[in-house]
Amino acid sequence: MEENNQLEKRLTAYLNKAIVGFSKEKKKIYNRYNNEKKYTLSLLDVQILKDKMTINDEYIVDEIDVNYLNPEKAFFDLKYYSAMKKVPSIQSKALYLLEVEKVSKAEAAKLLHIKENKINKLKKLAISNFKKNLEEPN
Amino acid sequence: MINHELEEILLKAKNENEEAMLLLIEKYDKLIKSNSYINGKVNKDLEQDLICKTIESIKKFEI
Repeated sequence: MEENNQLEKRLTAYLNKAIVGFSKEKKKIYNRYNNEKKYTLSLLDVQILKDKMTINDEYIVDEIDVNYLNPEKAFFDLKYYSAMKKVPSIQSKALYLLEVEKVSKAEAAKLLHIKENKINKLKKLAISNFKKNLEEPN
Repeated sequence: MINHELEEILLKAKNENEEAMLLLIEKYDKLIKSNSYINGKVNKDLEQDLICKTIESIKKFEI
């Protein structure tokens, strides 16, 4: 009986060590992934944005004036339009310039009259706010 | 689980007996659950990972 008690104690201690250690490592990975997810676009996000921002009908393209000053106009879907409209102007402009017009960080910074090192931060904030606005109920 | 059964169950679990392995996982379910919380909620993916880790650890455990 004593031996069996010893075995149970040993097994419990062994599993406790293995599970707690493994859990800590996994939690670090999950948290890192979740933090990255906040500021990066997944492939699906990119595809959704592309679908929403691509206008195939040339006639319509001529009619709509979309540029970095009104990035929300790139969206036909009211939900996406509203979500982008709510993003602070400087952030949405930075996102549009970098991701749609594909200008360099230096050019974008010049157009927005800000320092070049702020551009990435603004883009991240724009993505984060855009996602947050999309998740919010209307 | 009666103590004298533990060794037998462990041996069976180590020899790929599913029923024995499930018994052991049930026994350590609280330990698995309590380590599966992320931001105050049980994270199902983490819980599954921990179950896999438990199975792996039981197989490696030297009696």
